[in-house]
Amino acid sequence: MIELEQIMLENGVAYSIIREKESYVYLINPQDENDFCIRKNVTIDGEEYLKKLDSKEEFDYALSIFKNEDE
Amino acid sequence: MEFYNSKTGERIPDDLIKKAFAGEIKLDNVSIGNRNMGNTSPVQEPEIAKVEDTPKKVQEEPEFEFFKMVNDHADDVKAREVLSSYEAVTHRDTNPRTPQKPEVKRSEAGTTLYYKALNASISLSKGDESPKNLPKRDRNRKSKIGTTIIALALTGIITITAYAGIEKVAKKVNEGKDLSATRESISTVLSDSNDSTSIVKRHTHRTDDNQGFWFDNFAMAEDLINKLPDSAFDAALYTVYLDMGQNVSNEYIDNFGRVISACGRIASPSDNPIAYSRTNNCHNFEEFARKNGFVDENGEPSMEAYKAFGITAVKSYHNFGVNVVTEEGPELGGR
Repeated sequence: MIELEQIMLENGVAYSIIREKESYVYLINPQDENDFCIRKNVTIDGEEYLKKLDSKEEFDYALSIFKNEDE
Repeated sequence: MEFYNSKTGERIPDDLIKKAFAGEIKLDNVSIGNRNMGNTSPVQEPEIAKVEDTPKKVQEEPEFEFFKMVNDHADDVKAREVLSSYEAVTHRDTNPRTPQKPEVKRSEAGTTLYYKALNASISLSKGDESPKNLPKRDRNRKSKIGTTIIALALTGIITITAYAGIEKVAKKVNEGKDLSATRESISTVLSDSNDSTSIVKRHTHRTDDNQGFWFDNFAMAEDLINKLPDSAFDAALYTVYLDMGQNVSNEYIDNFGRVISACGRIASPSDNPIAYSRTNNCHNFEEFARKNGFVDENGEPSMEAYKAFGITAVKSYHNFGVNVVTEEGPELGGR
């Protein structure tokens, strides 16, 4: 078992953060490994929030940088 | 992938496994990934959940041929896709008392998972993005997750990346072939008089002897931070890099780094969260690259990695529909 940061998204589901790269945060639903999404980390007034991506291109870019070198 | 003697629990050396795959020797009582000490029970099935939204296929696959494929293509995404999609592993146990396991079931990753993730990730409307509407992070809020589901999720994401040709897209973006005239659109947002003067051109000045030029880096940073929406920062900063000559010489990287440093001093976390997160405490390009993950395989700052990011940022900003005008490059004299 691994301890991961958890966050509740707008759909009421608690997701776990499995990776962060640049400002992108990669989340999975612990109850369904096929349910994952990508958000951007933004800081507002010193607090961190997760914001949805702006476009499909940004989503594709976030996917393209997801892999680590050993994967 | 590791193999163990199911009776003794000892790991079988890789060279013996390879010989077995090649048919040179025969191995009995082989377990995959688990040490079965002192028993001959079949290998434990991995905890792989079913994928319900895609049709399932049952496929016959001899055990050693399957693992040979995995070994031969260890880095191949297709092999990983197969790994992630198998619900049980066929195990050829020569012990006649051991019942043969059923064949594997197979599901297909790809389109469905890609678009499911896409829809869950992007904003479909320009809604209110004030903090009250955004999920707030608490880095101290943690929960325990099984390693199996994490591995499956990672494999699934990588599979989708390969399926959708994302790496090819990123490569194409890296080559710059898709870069449209969006740098001009950034300039028009900045320009008060709609004269398409770029940030760099506006703040490039001749030396007193008229033999050279210099950049007013702080003025550029002020324009980037105070005259553009924060959401345009990534794209606008990249256009500055382009307009400064996109030269990889130390001279231009140093100049660009000074603009970044100035941005870091001007941006505030409340008014400019994106610019602040990118540039705060960055005194040069190298620190900026490390902070934002623009690094190569050795973890060293990479201009190529930054360019790939910048091109995508410009293309993404262009999707907002800013008008494009004809670009006139800065007139830079010699030194």
